Amino acid sequence: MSMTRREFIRNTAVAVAAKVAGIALPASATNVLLEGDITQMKWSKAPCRFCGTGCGVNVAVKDGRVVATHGDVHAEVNRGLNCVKGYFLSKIMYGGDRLTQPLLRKKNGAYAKDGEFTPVSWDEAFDVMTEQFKRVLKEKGPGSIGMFGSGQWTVWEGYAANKLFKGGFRSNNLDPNARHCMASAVMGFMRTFGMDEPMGVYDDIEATDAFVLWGSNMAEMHPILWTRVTDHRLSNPNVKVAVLSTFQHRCFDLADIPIVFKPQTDLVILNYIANHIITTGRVNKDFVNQHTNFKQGVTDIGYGLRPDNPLEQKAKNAKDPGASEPIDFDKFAAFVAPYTLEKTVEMTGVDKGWLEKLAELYADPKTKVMSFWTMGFNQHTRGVWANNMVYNLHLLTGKISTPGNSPFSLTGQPSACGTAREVGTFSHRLPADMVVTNPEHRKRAEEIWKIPQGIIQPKPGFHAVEQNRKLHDGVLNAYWVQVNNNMQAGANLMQETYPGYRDPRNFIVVSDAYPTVTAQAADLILPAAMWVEKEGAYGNAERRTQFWHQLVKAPGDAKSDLWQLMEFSKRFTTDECWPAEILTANPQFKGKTLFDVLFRNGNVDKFPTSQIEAGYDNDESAAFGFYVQKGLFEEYATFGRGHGHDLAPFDAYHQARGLRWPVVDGKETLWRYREGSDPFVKAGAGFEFYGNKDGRAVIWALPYEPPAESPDAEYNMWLVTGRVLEHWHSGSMTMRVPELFRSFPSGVVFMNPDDARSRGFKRGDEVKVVSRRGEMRSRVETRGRNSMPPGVVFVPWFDAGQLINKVTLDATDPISKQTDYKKCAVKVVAV
Amino acid sequence: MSSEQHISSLVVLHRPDALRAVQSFARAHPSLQIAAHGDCRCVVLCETDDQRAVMDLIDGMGDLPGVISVSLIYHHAESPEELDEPVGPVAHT
Repeated sequence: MSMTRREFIRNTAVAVAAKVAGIALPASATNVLLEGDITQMKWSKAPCRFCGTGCGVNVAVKDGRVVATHGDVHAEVNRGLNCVKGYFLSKIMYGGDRLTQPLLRKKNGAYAKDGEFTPVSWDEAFDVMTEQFKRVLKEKGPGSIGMFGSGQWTVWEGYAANKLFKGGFRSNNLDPNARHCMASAVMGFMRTFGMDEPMGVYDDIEATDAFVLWGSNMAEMHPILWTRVTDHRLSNPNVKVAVLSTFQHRCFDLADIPIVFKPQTDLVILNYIANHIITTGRVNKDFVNQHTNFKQGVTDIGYGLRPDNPLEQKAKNAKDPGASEPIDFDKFAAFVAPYTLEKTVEMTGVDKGWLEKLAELYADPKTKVMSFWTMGFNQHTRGVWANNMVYNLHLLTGKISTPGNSPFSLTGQPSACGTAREVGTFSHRLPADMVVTNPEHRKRAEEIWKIPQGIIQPKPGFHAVEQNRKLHDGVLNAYWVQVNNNMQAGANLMQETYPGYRDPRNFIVVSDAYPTVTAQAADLILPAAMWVEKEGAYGNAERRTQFWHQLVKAPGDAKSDLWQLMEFSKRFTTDECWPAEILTANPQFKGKTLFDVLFRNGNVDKFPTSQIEAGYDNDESAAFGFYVQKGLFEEYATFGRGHGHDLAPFDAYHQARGLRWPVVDGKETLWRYREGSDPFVKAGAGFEFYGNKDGRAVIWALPYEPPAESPDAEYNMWLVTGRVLEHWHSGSMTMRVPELFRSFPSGVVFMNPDDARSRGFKRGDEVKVVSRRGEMRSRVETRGRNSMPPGVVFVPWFDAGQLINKVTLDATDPISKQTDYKKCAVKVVAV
Repeated sequence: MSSEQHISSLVVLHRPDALRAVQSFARAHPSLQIAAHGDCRCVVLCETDDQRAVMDLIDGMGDLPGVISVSLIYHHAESPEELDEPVGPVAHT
């Protein structure tokens, strides 16, 4: 049989799409999937570089260049689907302004804070950087150096950074940008379950009867999971979808229960539903009696602002915001009793009928419920509370850890779970949910790392927002930023972030693939390898750890963050970084480099390069002479094996399309905490929340408290910030893909048409968004994908030409230290 | 104008009563063809000589009432001359 290439490719296109959609085609049309033979491309698997969904993609390489990506039909997460960002993945590495050599600010041939960026060699870059870090270490000690990392680091990059800072430099001033997105989720998990990350999996989507989206705009932010939700809803007319938000977005197209509430009053709705479950007699008493405890948290906890802020000084419990006391069910019932339907209608502005329908989804014992949330809860001055309160609903009804009953915290970054959280790159954490404040945890980490007792400091370091404040105040002076764009992402950039970076007392290093606004505010820019230019591992929102091979070379002199961290460690000795008394007691460590003690420790250098799979490059292993990624991963996995964080052997992940931990005897775990599904639950227990010593999850009594700032006569509108489908985070990658740039080229202010009219604006007019902290210019949008209620504007933050974080407030959740980017007061005025 | 021809396929998820809207959208755009459909999903083939048109057609279909999501599944670009060449006998698997 012969055909033209056109016919062949058209048939292939249809066959692939039909397979993804689950539509049967005539047999003759399906025997065409032989493209590789014709086009001479090498296909490999990798997880997508963008969000926390963790879609699998097939990556085609031809002549040393990534030329195409497709959704991987063998990947359980996305089953061949891809969103537009994932579709254009092949283009993110080939932006015209890719950084290919180190750039140092110089004047008259030497480093100068006010110099111009000048290309330098890696040697010169590291010489100057070493000199600056040593100067600060000598003058002020390890508390004045720090690093800001990322949920986009690969697992081993985050692990190497954790070791270098906490185990080498003895500084806990290491925090990831995941502080901006997942910290409240983490503290929510720890306070309720004593253990981080969801108990359920994406498979819950196809098993549930009802979806409740708490603030989440999955249609734009997690489009592939939204496609699975859509498919389940459209194929099963009895399934219900409730969408809650402070404005209408694309998810409302599918909503059976649409709810637009006043900002911050999600807390009221959560307690109303708990009250409804109790007053209608639908508490699952057996489950509650056997598997839960009740606690009441302290209130009036402040807003995580600087300690001298009047709001903090006024707050009664700002110093110990996480404190609590045990209570019983009756006390809890009395606590939520004031959250009646009438009071909830009044406070939230939501129609009574919708609230009742929503509450019934949780209350009806026959309805399986899956709750989704991301930044709406997490970026919230009471974000930890909101997380605790949604778990309350699932625990009161026993709707948890069974297929379709799933409180599911979605993630924003590809490895916020796998790297930032599991590896513990936060300023208070160590791997596998351990913390620096616990002497036993420090001892265990020091043993695994084979370093002397007493090296890891007991006090948490500066968290993300505090790092910016300490740079501003000249306390933190040598600072390294990798894989994130915090100048664009950090709140209140005019008063806090920018002055700190440009303060002459401070030396700022930024490693990135592109000249982001953060890189441009630095003193030294290090060019980074990205995505499939290195061997990598990410962990997604459903505990799935996924690996990929290096598929192409990084351009020019760009090097991976892993290489940068390990190479830099060669320039420091233990004598320069560790106290003399520890070295006297442990003389075998004297005179060694940090590279020797951290990475040539018998663990990390255990596996030879001959174990790298044939046909794939591995530039880091070639540089250091051993299989770096395997050694780091196996050492790291020691932390979690045997107590519920178990990871499979390294090589298994290069074969599988990811595995969900705990992986025990080669078998992944889908639903945690339930007997029969989770190997760590004791026989006969039924359920066991073993993160807590008593095996019980905690139901929390927590109230509504107002936001840090609300609109008033002058600043008369709410500002909500967020993302759009086409761009991921600050746009540093997606703005360089022509198709995505063209589809949504610049930021806009989504505004209610009446609000625009009353201010004399027409659609497209240039306006200023002004707060007490700063202002930015943008254009009015009254139509399109988002429909705003009166008094609320939405501005996406991807556009470096329109920095909305000049305007936002750096109020944080006092427990998680995560910023609330969803609520501050602004006015919108003519230019 | 690009000298390349772009062939892509899309999966459209829609409410059952929106199928007619998708069909009439496809009829109005000669570069589109509905290759297969179920009750609430369609496979749409798109062939165009303008790469940017693909994004516009995705947006256009996404804006139809009752359409919930449009996913780009497959994309291939080549010159029209190459596309008219015969391929050798295709092994059936």
